[in-house]
Amino acid sequence: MQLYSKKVIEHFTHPKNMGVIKKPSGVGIVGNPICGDIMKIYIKVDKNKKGEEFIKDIKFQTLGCGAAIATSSMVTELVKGKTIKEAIKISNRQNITKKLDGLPPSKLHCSLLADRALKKAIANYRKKKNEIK
Amino acid sequence: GVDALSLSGHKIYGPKGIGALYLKKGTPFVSQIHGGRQERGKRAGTENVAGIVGLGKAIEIINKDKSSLKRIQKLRDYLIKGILKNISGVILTGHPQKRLPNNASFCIKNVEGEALLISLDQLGIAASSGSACTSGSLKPSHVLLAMGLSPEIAHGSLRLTLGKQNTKAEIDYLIKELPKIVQRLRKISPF
Repeated sequence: MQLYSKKVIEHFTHPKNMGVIKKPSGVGIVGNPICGDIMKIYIKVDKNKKGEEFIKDIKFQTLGCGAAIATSSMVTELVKGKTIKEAIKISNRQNITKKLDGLPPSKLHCSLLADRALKKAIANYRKKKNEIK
Repeated sequence: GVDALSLSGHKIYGPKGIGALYLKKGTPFVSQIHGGRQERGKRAGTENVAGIVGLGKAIEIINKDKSSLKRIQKLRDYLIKGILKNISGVILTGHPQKRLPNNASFCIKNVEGEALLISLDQLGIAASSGSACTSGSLKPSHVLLAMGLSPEIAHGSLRLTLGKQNTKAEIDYLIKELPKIVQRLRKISPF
């Protein structure tokens, strides 16, 4: 059994923002063929009072180990309600890992995966937006 | 009629740090540990006499207690029946009868092994898994792969082994709780 922090176990036991968004603005799916975890992130983007695009809602689904579930839960918590610009800035594997009070060395790659899933969802949103134009 | 058999003391209630290798006469053998000429040049290193005595005693004890094996096997079969009945998308890995009498191993669809272990541990149940995420090397169990299972299926592996202290009540507890764990993890999964 891994030495997981209390925060990781908490996110594993009570994940934040778990589920689907019915009409998402963007979806990102990542899968690691080595350890087999799959993460899916849905985002709903809207404009705030300043006219900036922000993440109004975000949900995740993950098939994976404790770290996989915890990191995907944490990334949604990190960026929910933030502008897209802010989200891209603060979402990275160091922040995700830090907010979870650390990860065992063999599990650090999960935080990278969670960040990639979010960035893919944002990229998907931008692509769809450009296609509608 | 085997050519080689390796066994560990700690698997039969003996001490840790001792094992034995049986080799049929005439089996080619290459020594792995070099140095002194102990064990007729087969394995260097001063012998662990205390361990050897312990292993011998452990073997003596289990040979006298054949009834335990029968009881454990019955419990194990009861466990397998309960799991297969109460959870969908589960397979038993390996042969249903030609297996160690205390071993039950499964692959469960759309859940990952380590997540299962954490959830079971939270309920006081100790188990093992051959999933990639539970190995330090991030590779699935080479045993499962050698049995013909794909890495994807090995992902959801769960191995339960029983000992002479396990009770029917404990098996019932597992059969009651595991479906809920599987259900929760499947809800979190995208599939």
